[in-house]
Amino acid sequence: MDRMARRIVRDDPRSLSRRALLTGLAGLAGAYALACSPAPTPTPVPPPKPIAPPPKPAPQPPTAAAKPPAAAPAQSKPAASGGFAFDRYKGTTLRWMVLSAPWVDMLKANLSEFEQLTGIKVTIDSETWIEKLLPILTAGSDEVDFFMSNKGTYGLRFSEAGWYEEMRKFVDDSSLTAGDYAYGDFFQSALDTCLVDKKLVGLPTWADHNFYYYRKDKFQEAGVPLPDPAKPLSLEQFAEIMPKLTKRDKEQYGIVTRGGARALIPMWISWLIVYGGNWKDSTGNWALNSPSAIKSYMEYGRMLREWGPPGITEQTDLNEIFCQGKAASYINTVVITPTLRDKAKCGVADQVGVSVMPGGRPYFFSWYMSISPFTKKKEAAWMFIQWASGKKNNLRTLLSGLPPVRKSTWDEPEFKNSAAAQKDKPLYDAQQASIAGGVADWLPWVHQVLDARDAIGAVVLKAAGGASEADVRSAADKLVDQMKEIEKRK
Amino acid sequence: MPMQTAPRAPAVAAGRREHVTTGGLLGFVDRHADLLFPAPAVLLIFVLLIFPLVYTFVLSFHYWFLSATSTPRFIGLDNYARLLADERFHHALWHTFYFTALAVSLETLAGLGLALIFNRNFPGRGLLRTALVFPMMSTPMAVVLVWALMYEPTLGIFNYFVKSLGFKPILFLADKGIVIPAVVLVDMWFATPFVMLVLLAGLSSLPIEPYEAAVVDGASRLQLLRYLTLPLLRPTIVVAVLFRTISALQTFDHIYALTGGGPDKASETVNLIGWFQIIENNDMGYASTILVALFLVVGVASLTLLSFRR
Repeated sequence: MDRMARRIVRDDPRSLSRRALLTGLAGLAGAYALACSPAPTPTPVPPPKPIAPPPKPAPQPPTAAAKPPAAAPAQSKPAASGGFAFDRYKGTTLRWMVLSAPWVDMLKANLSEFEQLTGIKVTIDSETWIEKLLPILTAGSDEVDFFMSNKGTYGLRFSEAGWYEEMRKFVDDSSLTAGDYAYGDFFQSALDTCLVDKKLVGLPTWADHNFYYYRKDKFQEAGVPLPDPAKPLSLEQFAEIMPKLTKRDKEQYGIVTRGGARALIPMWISWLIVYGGNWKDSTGNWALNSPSAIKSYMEYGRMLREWGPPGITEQTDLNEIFCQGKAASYINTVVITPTLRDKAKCGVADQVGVSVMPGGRPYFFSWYMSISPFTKKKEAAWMFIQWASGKKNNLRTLLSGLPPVRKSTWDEPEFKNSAAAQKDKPLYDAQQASIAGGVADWLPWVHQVLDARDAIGAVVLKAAGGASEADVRSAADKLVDQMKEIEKRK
Repeated sequence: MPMQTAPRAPAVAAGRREHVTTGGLLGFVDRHADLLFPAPAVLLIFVLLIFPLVYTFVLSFHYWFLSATSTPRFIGLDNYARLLADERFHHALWHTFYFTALAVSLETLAGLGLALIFNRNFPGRGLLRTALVFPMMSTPMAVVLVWALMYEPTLGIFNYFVKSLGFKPILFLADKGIVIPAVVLVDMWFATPFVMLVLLAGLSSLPIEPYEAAVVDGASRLQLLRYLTLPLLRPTIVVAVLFRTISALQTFDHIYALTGGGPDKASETVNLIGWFQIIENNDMGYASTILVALFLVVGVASLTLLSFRR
């Protein structure tokens, strides 16, 4: 009976045959596969990263990265004489789209001070801010008055789209800028990171850079003098002490640092700049096969191969290797300092010293605040940016544990008299020296910067793998061709 | 009994039922029930499956960078030409096949073995079977990070034993030659319980009579497995392999978290480069082309596998 019923069903032209069912299932499986793949919905934008990339403006090659900070003249005039008043735009309401970060939280906590000072209300929008910001700017809408961005991830694209209001006109206008604002007080590296095609597109917030962390006990054991916090070791001195600190048979390494192709770029840039190289030469051609560049690949590669632990990848937990006592020194970003000095998180915390990067040219990164060209409240927005980037908030930045971007901040009496300043002088000396020597343009000025990082990093890793100089040079020649191709892509 | 018939009888008699079903909303519903009832499901399928599929296909013929400053520009087959010439894609395609073949075959063998073991009665069977299903319930990214630490040459537990035996540490995730097998091992940890459960269900539904007959005829255990269990279980095995193949072809999270596609792109799969093109390069047109290629790969693999089931 059952069999007969099944035959009847199968013979019914409207019923589903097994073959049709299976074919349909296969189709659905395929469709499901595609639907579950990262579908190109128009939302994804690179998520904001704490250490995101500020690239290099192609037409203005080596200068920005290669020159140490030059003092810019103070632009503002005394408040009383310039007719400046913070409350000139009283009653205005502003919308700020900004990432969620401790620095922003610090400003939020002091927002009432700004509101009392200016009579301006500020709405801070951090919820999926970049996803919302892009369509708003694309539409040319005045829904947002000012926003956060950075050079590496957004600079080129935002600049080409005309989404940055030029900021220098506000800084230079004494009726809009307080006399004690002191634009010249910013580190040059901090201003460089806000310069896109020689245009000031924002004002810096807080600093991020590399540190050279070292184990005091390991240095002493090896008879190596402890590095001066603010005076960097030369790369030659660094290469001399490394063998003394490395005992591979005992799994003791002289250095641990980034060894993934993409991740190593902000570390390797120091070698490139110190050896006199840069992304492009003075004629605007890619210079990644120059003798300086070749030397940087070889030396960074040698460091990884001879003095570092084996098998470092993009995903390696470098903190763990250092904190478990396997390395005598460590190069990485300043943001991990609290972790490395926390005894609960790091087994060698009480032995950790800090110094400016060997060579003295660490990468430098800062988010910046920019005004939308579409807002009708540009001047009011400038009042906020001026307040947020002023001396007082830089002091708050430093007191909250983040590196500030103004030179005078460490000299503020309130900081100098603080317990932290007394206790941690080497740390703050190293901080100042690092920011002063910071390389703002530590990424190539291309849209597809991650592809560029992969390509450059691959040459460094070739050297790390023990390739001869001739092979590395040949790889660097190919790299230049790759960079030309990547540069064409939008 | 009278309560069931009394109220309806007059209406039917007066032809009211016909009136109700042919007019008004109810009548409309009645007349188009064959279209209306499946409509929500069809709509859902359209929105969640068909539209993304068609939209991706359409985008694959366009140049569109997610800067949102320009609209998609039709470029014909340029993206497909780029795909065919793209060495990175060729490598990724090979890695995808290599990973899938190795992962699915090992997981099927291990899953079958476990299913045969757990199909028998022994003390603690329920407890062990539950324990084996835990990997399916774990959070992939968290577990993968633990695996990454275990693989670490300096600190990892695996290399602790390797070094204890006097050997040099194995660079599981940093050696191009072994990175994919290392990722497959993690995938096995996650996916073998799934294969085991599917095959266990298949085993429990096999008829007993052929086994009784074979035992009477003097068949050995190996013969029972070779000539009865495996042929009878074939449709279930194909289903398990089909699901695992589709999933393995698309594997993203394990590979991304363990290797990021490295070292030097040695573990980059098609899904990974699609993701990179979207998220990192914002190259929506080319990313769509990569995903269409992945769709074709998955579709062809699924149809091929299904042909084995017949």
